[in-house]
Amino acid sequence: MKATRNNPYGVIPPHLLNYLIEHGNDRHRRCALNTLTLDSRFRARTERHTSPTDARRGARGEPLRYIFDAGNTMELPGRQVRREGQRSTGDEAVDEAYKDLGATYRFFWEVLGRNAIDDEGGALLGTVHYGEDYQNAFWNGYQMVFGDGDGEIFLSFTRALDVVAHELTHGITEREAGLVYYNQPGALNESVSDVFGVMVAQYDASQTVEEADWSIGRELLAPNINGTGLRSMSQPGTAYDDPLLGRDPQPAHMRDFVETNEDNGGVHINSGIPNRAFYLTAMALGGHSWERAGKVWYATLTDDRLANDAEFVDFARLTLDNAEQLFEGGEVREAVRGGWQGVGVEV
Amino acid sequence: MSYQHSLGERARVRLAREGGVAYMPALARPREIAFHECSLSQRKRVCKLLDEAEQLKCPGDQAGQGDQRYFRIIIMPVGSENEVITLHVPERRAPESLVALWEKGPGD
Repeated sequence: MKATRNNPYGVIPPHLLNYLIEHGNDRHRRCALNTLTLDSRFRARTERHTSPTDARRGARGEPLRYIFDAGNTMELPGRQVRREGQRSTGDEAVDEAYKDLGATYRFFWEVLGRNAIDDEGGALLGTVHYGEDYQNAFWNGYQMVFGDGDGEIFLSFTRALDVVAHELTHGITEREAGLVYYNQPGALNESVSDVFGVMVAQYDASQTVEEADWSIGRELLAPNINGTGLRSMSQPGTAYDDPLLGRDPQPAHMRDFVETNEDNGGVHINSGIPNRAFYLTAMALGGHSWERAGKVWYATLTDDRLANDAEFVDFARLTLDNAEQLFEGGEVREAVRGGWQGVGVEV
Repeated sequence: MSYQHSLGERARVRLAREGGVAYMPALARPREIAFHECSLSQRKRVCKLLDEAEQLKCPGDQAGQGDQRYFRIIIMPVGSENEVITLHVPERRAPESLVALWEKGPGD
């Protein structure tokens, strides 16, 4: 890549220096660090690696998927192994990621009329076999990344459709409300990913709210782990209790809200509260979660009035308003109100 | 300012790996290093890592975004929680030596 005259960092563009810091050996890292000025604006910046897939757009109503294999390294995006329309590869993680991204796309398109993460049919990029025994899945601002798990605590992270959908939803939230990833707005950010993650799985299985188990990541825990998943939306705080994991710390009600500096101010902890509010709303309405409760939550996520530092009560008020705008008669609005009141958020 | 010149015998450093798609208390495995229990070379090694972490850190609300993992380093210059400096280093930027410090401690 050619450096431009505007580049304040000299001949080597900053994204390459960042890449060396993140992927180089110790010597590369040190050299790159020395080259960078310690400009906080730069340090705060998230560099994205561009690739030829960036400019491509899928047809309306059709996903455009690219799956990469990191080969158990931490290099991203890795080697492209399957793209839209290609046959299954026989590699379970590759094919699961492809299928799950397709199911997630289908949900957002068919139920909510959203055309991919950017709503413009942009490519869905997923990397599998990331790292060695890597126990996580994440969204890095550009793509989804899935580890294989260690086999003792976690199995491959592509096994759980709700977790794949959870990560993709982080991309949507980033482009819509941009909820700050700290304290209550961060817990809302996490909860929104769980809400849409669980709905994608229910939609894919054609489950009613009574048939669904309302757990997140049930397929991820290894057989010897004492747990039913990563989180329970119906009964936050009960998903697992195991010596290798500890005990599920999620509260189900505002009276148990956890004040902490860990976990970005408890984003994966206090998300139990808005998660249960959605569960209570969906159960009160019955039928399929995505038909009414899901539409209210989506209208709220994409509502221009939702500030990026919104707290639970701000989000709750907007869900009420959106319920009223979307559905006549007041039944949905009252179900939403009951959901929030059930977790101690007064609206 | 280098930590090599600012941290004395009373200093303590706490290091945990946080973030990820779920918060699981046992996986953070926080490690605490008390400088008065360390040799001079161990202290120097830890301080050098902290200096590097200063350059690699990012704001707290960006470190874990989208379920990415990160190292949270709490530096207590006088050994108490009344005065702390907190650094967040994204996992993708963390040098192997920092990961080793978290996994195994300051070494020999």
